[in-house]
Amino acid sequence: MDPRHSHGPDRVDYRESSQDITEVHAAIQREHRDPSADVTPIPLWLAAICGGALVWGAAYLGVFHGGFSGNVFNERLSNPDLLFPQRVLASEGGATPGETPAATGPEALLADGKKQYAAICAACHQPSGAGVPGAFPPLIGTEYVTGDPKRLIAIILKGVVGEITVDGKVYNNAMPGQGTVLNDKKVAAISTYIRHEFGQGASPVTPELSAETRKAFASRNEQWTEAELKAFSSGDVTAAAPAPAQ
Amino acid sequence: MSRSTHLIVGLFGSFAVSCFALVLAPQAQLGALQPRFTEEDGKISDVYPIDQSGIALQGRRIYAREGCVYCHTQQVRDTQIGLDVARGWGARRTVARDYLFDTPPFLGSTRLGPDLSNVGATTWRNETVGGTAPVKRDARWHLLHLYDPTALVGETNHPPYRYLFSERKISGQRSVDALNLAGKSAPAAGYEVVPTPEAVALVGYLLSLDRNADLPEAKSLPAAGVSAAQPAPAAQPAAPQ
Amino acid sequence: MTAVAQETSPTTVPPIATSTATSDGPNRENEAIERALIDGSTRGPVLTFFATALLWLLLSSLLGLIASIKLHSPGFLSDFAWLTYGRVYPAYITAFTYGWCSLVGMGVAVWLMARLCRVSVRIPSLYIVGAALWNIGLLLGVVSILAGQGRPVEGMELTSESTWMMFAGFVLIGLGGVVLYRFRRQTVAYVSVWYLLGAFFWFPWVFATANVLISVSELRGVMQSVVGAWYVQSLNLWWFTSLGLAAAYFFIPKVIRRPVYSYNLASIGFWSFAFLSGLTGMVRLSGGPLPAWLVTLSISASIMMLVPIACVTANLIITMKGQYNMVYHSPTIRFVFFGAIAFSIESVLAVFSSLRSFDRIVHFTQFTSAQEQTLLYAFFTMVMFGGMYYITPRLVGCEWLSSSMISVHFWGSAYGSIFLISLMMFAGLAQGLSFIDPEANFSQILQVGQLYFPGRTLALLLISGAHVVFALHFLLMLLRIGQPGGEPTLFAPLGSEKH
Repeated sequence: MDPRHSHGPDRVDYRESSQDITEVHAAIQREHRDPSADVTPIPLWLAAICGGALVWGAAYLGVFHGGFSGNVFNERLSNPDLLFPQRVLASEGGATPGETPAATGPEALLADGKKQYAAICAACHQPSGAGVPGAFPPLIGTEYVTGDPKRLIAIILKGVVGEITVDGKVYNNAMPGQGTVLNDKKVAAISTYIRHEFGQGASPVTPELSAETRKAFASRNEQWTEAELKAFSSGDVTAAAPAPAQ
Repeated sequence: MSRSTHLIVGLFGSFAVSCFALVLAPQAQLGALQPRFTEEDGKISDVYPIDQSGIALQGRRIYAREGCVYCHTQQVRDTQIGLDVARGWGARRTVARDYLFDTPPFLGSTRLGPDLSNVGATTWRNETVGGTAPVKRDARWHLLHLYDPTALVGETNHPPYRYLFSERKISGQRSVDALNLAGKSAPAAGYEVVPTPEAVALVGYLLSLDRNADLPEAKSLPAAGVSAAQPAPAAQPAAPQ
Repeated sequence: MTAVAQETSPTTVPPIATSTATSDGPNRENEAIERALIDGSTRGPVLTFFATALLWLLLSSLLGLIASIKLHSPGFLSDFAWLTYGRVYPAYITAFTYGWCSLVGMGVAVWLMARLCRVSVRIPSLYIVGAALWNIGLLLGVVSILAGQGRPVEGMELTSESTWMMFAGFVLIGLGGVVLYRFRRQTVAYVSVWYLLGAFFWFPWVFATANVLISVSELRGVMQSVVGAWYVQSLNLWWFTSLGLAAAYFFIPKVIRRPVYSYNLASIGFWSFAFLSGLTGMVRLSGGPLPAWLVTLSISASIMMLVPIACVTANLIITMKGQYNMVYHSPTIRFVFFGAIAFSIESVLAVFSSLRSFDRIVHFTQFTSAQEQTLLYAFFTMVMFGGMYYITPRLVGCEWLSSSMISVHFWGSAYGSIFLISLMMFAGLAQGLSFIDPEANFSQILQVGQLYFPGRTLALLLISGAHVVFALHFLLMLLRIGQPGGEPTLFAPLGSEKH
């Protein structure tokens, strides 16, 4: 190998400078062969560590994978029943994988109901639920609101006509039925909101219950009268369903 | 295949696996995120989050320029792993959707100061400390805090950002924007300290930060009234037992 | 730097093929000439890398000091917008990682590649142009950060213009590295070559992908943070750790004259490292607003990282076995071995601190930055210092002037980094524990940090002092002021126990 073939402008020509040949060779001459690697099998203890690490890592992924969902942010929701039953609080749930957001829970209904009430009912019954004396009856604390949720739903669906006594005062007006405008979820939302807000926290109403009620009165077209409402009992509804909570 | 080919194919494979798992797969999930909104009879309302604009957007640039992110995070962690919610930094943990329009989001990695995810919310850090009433952190408070942090929060290593303010001679009446300074940091008589537009924009951005709105994937704790009422059996939320 | 050194003297050409302690064979003279030629060809590029890297090291030490002082004295230089903490800190990290770490890493990598492939560098100016582009791009980038124009993504603060310039520079350097491999005359690639080749391929892939995704494509929301975290972690492992391990796998067996303990272990270690480290990035965003599976995947990969850690550590330690006394003699071994130990400690720490139960305490505290320091300083930088102590004499033709200067450098860096890291870990733990203590109010928690920050400045002062000493020593070497060639500059005379 001829050193004069080395490239680059700042190369050192080891043949021309006796100083350099000594120095560079001295540093390099004392060098040993470049390192190599022996072929040695892996010690057992090391294989054990590696195997342990792989199992541990895989188990961690298996336990906390969160369903590989983009909506699960809490890793404990992966297999909660199995692993941490006591740690997962319903309030911190988050949506479970693959399911549409829980829009039918009482909180969602309540929020939706508030908006629906403001848009549809508040014009007559007032945002406060106090109604207008002599014209529109109040909703606060009346038996129509706190009582049988099915009757409340029926009123919202079909409306009321004629004289009606609420809270000891007589009103004579016509409330149009909203059954064609509102779907079951919205009816449930309004009922839940009214019962929560004006009915001293009466139980929420589910969309299922409103669907059931709508079905029961599907053939009815006219509004309710006070007499009918007074007589309203679960017996009147042919397909009696299990009552909601309690 | 030769040894070299094996080596290079292996190297590329390791890169491809990494890129797929940590970049492409999450992009497929998170890239499809949409703001939460309510649609009623074709009308869209109640949209969250919304894009920042105007003064908040300008302030965002100042926030980035001054590197606030190196001391302040903008992420509230789950109640199971930290006390972020208890410290009043937010009503709930933050999730990917909260940052939909943040380019980039200032998540931060170090907390040398409090988390600022919801610093614009009235409820932010509204705790009573040592019997004193919670501080109302309005624009004036933030401006004063930027100019002279020690005047408001005592001993702190929050740097003073005096270069975002200008000191000028009072001509005629004192400006309504001038800071009410006292003690050491007060300007000489006849002078006043007014915030530059940059400082105002920065505070505008801070006050726009509020990520407490409910999202289906991260709810804040429900109102007491609702949890007290017994939910009907069919209406159980999707959360597991 | 081995026992053979005694047989050579500065004035005489060493004897040809004398039988020495190991059987070096009859072609030893030829090998030496070949090495001398290779070293001659790499001299320009490698010294350019080293010299500019050292300038960046000094600059980053200064920026780091300013940032550290600001943490306990916020009024310090607070009227200069350019030097506010939020700008100095990223400028410091950028100057340190891209200036010092990357440049010195590339210098050592080019030298190692040429040596291990047994080929001379054909066009040294290619590397020098590459280094110049890298340096100019980086300088523009750091100035932009100080001017407040940096990109607001943590870990990717360099502006697009400077990243493209640096990328162009790297392409020249990386191409040079790959060309060396392509025309290698050593058929069996040694372990170090795997890591070097990995680094030369991974770096441009990751660098280009992340920068394109951030600056060109329209990634929304947290995806930008995801890409940022992936980028920083990939750089730490695939770039810096790869380069550091390549150097450690070379210098330890080379100086103590022993083959590496096991090829099989090295192979398992390398491939598990290659595939797992690319998956660990999201531990940086643990607890953040990311889907749970993403963070879980990274934690799981972090746990499995125990495999490469165990393999590399066992391989290096068993290779060193019985030769630990070399730490007292050889500066190279002392620095490299310190780095190798730091690598093992930091990696094991990284595994356990990635677990959610531990991460929830130390996330967001100084603990994470202590880990970063362990990786980039106690491991990478120390190994690179060792490499520079080995390589520079072969390039400039004289030995280091003073062993006490090397000693001051070592103890300054070692004590300084140990002090710094343990202090920050304590600070992080203390702060993290009070973060999850419902009794502690927030201003009290901040006071906890205040106790530690002055100590941090002290440690950085010590480290910066060591850097100044080393930079001076290196400058002397560039000016050829040193011991005459022949005897390596050792801490203690070697081989007295062999007589």
